[in-house]
Amino acid sequence: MSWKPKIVAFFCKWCAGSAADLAGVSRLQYPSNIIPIIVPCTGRISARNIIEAFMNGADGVLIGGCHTPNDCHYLAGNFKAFKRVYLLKKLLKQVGIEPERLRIEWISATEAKKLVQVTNEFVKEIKKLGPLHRGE
Amino acid sequence: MKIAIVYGAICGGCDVAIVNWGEKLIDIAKKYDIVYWNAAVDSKLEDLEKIDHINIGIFMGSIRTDLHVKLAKLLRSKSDIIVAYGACASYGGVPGLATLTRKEKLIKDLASTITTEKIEEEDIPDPAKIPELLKTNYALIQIIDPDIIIPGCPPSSVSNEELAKFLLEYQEGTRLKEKIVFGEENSLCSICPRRPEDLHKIKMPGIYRLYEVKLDENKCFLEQGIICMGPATRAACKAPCIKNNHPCVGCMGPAPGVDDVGLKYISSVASLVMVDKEKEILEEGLAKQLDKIVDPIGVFYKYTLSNSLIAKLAKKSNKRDEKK
Repeated sequence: MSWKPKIVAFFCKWCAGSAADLAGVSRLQYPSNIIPIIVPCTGRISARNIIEAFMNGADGVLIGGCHTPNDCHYLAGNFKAFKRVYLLKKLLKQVGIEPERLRIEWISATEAKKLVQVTNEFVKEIKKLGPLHRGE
Repeated sequence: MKIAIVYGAICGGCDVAIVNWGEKLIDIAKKYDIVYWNAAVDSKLEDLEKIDHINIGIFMGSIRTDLHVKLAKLLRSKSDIIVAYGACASYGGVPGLATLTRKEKLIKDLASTITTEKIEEEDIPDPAKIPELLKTNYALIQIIDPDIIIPGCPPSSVSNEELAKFLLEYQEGTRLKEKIVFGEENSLCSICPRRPEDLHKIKMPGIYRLYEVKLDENKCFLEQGIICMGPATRAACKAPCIKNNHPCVGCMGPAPGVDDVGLKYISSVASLVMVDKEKEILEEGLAKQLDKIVDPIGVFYKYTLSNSLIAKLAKKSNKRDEKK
């Protein structure tokens, strides 16, 4: 009926977070389903943070970090995030949850348009997948 | 004083571990009256029901059928102190991996073979009344609240000695102030004889299976590219596997401060694999390495799936609901 997907987005402060700011300043619109959380670096997002987001009602989790290989402010945090997400996707698939609910994208501080495009795409995809939790 | 040893879904290993007490078992049998222990004394469920009060109740194995739930609750209501003995009772153990498979499919697989026709659950004859399979597998700690947790598959000789000491020193009527988990308040790495070169900078040169590399017996497993669950596992043994050149599989359950071994380990493995070559091999190369972990649940959650966050999430997710 009137189900709206909830998406938690972890953005790195230096790239995707700045891009989100830029999107706001440039009055680009992106869906209100996204709940952005700005973290210092995507490398600090532990697997547990992601699973807890799902546990607490998120239907999808988006992670936005700096472009590989050389953009990360902390040298290689984005690679660590990539590895975590890659393993978690395999794990989710094994327990019967669509791995597409978890997505990682590289968005630099200037790519506000890419951020808007990615969030739109992701919201569309989650809408197609339906709610993660029962009774919602 | 009375002691009862009760089984859930058990393989028998814990029993063997208890019998390994050897002569201490005689001392314990002198002090305690064994009122229920299927392997040693001939007492039935009715006998357990008749007893008003038990001093120590030891529960082994995970909870898989309604009988196990009944037994666990019965034991809790009668005992002063409940001991969750072994990885299954403490964290779900290997049978906990059944959380991934639906009950209906289990029964179907069990009842039909390649040669017989597909059989539905209703068609299976039920001449003797057997306990009903629960929807999924539980650890004892999800059903009742034990006073002592002894992890391990089976519990190590160190834990066993500690338990024997506790049993022999136990005074009737005393209750524990807080829950005790046997083992050290540290991870296995703290007692591991294989020291890495720099404890704060371990690098995994890729991910390998045991047969793929020639192991150096004095070097940290992680530094050789072998996945070892030691960092996330409680130190409750004398590291017998590691001393025999096999990486830790995590049977002692989560290290203190960790409640979900798998997620913690995924986070840490990501900070270890190829950390020095990330910028050369990029995402494709990393994915190729990580693909070598074929069965992440089986590796990271071998003993702790029942009570893990990921299992709870899977139960919550509606995909399973639709299939019903």
